Amino acid sequence: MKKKFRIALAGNPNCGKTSIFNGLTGARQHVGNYPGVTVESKSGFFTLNGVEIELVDLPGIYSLSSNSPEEDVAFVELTKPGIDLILNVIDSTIPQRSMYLTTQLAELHIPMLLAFNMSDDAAKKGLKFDIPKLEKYFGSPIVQTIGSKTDGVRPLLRQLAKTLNELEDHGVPMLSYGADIDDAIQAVSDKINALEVKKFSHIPARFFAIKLLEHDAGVMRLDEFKPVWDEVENQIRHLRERHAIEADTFMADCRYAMLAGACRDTISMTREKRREISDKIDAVMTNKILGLPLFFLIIYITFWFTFTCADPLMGYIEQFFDFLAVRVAEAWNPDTLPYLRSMITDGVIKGVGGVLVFLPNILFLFFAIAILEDSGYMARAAFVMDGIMRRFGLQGRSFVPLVLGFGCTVPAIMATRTIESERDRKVTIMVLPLMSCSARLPIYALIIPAFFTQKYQAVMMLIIYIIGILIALLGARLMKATLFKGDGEVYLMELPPYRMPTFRSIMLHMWDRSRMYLQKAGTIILAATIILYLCNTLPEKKVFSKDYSAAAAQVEKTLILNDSQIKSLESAKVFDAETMTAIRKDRKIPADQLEKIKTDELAPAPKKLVEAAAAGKEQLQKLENEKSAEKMEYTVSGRVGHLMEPVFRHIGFDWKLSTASIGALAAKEVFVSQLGTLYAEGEADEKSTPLREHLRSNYTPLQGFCIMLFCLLSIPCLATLAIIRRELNSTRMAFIEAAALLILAYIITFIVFQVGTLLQIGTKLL
Amino acid sequence: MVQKKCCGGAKTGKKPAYTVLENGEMTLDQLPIGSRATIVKILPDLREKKKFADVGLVAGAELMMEAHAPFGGLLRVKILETSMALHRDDAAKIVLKKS
Repeated sequence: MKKKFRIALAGNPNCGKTSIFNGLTGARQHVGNYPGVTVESKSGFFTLNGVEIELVDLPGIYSLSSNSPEEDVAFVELTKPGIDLILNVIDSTIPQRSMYLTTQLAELHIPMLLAFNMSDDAAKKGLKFDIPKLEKYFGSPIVQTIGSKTDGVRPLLRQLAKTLNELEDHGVPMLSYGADIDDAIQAVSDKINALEVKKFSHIPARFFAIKLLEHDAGVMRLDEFKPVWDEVENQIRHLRERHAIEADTFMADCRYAMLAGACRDTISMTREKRREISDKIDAVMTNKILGLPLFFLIIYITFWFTFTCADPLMGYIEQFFDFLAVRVAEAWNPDTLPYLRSMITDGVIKGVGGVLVFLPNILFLFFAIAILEDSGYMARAAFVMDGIMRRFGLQGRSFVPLVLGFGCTVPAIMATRTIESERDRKVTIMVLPLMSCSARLPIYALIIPAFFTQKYQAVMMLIIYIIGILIALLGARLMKATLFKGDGEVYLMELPPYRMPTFRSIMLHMWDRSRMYLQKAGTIILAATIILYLCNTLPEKKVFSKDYSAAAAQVEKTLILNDSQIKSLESAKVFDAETMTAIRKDRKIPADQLEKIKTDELAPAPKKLVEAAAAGKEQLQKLENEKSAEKMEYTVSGRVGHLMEPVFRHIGFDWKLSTASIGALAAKEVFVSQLGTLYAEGEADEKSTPLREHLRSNYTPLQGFCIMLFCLLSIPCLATLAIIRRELNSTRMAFIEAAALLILAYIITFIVFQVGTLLQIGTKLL
Repeated sequence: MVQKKCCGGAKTGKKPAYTVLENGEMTLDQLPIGSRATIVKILPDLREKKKFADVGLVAGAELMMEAHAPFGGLLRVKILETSMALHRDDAAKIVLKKS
């Protein structure tokens, strides 16, 4: 007996294949992608009686043709040498449909084991199987399983151990397409055998003969079989003369006829009970009138769940990274490797923390999506939304990702995996960055109150969001009319019966996807934050326009208290004993104590002292800010900003805004903090009133609007680009996307700024 | 069919497609909700016929119309005990006889 076996797991979509896979392999899985396509590849390992077994989970397919990327992948995997056994999972509640694939798998003459899954449901439905007869029919052993129960795979393991011992003498299927067709198959097979194709020597010629006779795209692509095409066409002509039918669907017809016969012989139904509950739920869920409102309600609950429940956790993560940065800074002597120290504390920890902060969001989101998917609702949602989305060149499954885009584009792009049509998926991914994500909110929150009165603030916000949505939808239509022209794939999708999702499968689902986010976005973000940090700090300015430290020392000097001043503070009992000791020692009021003092309640003398200290503190801060602004201008970012100015001037941007928009590449909200640094207000946030004052005195409302417009439309953050690159499987597409958005943003902002300037709209403060 | 050349030979929308049915026949998009019918034939201009055939939409198969999606395009059909959603335009290429 071999030491290692490779087993391929095949079955229809929604046949319970995944639960069998999880049941057999547990958490030992490897999830990846097949090269070039977005089909997920999954394999897992387990040992059976000491023998190592690799279980390859093929994508769910109805047929072994080339109707979809999934079927292509399955075809290639199964025709590769090295598969010892096919484990075909069959939804035994609908045997006739499920065994359609089985008929094709049997033709591969690879040893096969059939798992009649959901046997409990089949029994409830009153289905009785003549197992020995079916086994003979397919030439393969059959075992009945209940994948949804924890010990439901035990009979499968027992049978598997037995089958693996008897691989040499597996049976031959008794599948016949009828005299005429079998003759044609035989004729083509003979020709193929004469070719002696080495690559497929392990698969009977009959399999390829059948595929050639039905013009299967996957087999027609193989050059090895070109020499027999003439014979194939001959046989098809011959068959058509006798039967007057389409060659393409001929074999499908025959297989269904064959199966209908087989099922009559081997399956009996005692009572006709269909999936009533599922149908009853659907009468409401996909109802023509109720369907849409229910859909919106469910989506609302999903978002509420994602953002509300994740919020406190995000706070903890933020606190943790702040704490970490402080601790590292404390433990690390500032004199040893000062650059590395500040790069790690200010750059790496804050940057990576800034990404990890979204982890709870992503976990909760994928948890919710896993429930919607595993229960079967996602297919209904797509069904209900399709009519609306199609008007914009998208489809039903595009809707959920687009709405998720308001939260964060990264998980939204990952959610597009549920879109089966490759073209629709690409279009959805390409327009997704235009949905204004929550990281752009701080920018709007800074700009809008700075330039617009209370009355217009909400309207401005809404306008910005609507501009994003409109451009996204128009862009989708445009791309569908140009880049992705044509009728597209046929829409044919199963609405699986509702099922109670198992906790285990939801957790696995959630973890698989979140792990990918952490791995890929994490590494890219890490690199990007380091680069941006370097751009924002280097080269370091040594010579400043004025001597800041001397100026600071001068201010400090005025703050030094003499004995009588200390006494007056002491007698006024302004500070507690501990602070007083510090004051006596340092001869000045500690800066962190100043905010706690209410000057109104003090006597004139100490009041004056406290006020002087406060003024001094402010002055010092101002000097510090001026210095960092000067530093910033000297760095790579500052220089690039200056370089960009001649171009960006036409959309209303000066060098400061240009520099800030480079910072926005790391994460959109960096725009605000970068601008804060440039306007010498230290690390600003969106609530910073002084920064707003600066903005008001330097820019017009029109420019303010242009800032928001540009930030909305231009290149998304690097994490988004990284995920676009990965999901589209193309570096080129990610670059094209970035360039296209930049050009789009520039043109639109240019038009708005120039027309606005010309017509004198918003050039004066409102 | 002779195609009218207008507008400098530019394509103007879809060319007309007529479906003439026998007595008692209809296409899938006309089947009322809740009714059952048997597929008589699939018209040759159905796109990706094989995809439909592979899920059981072949001549002789019995199906039932389950629902219409709001705002248009999609139909929900029960075939071989499975609900499949397909587009109305494609359904118009599937000819049925009421059973």
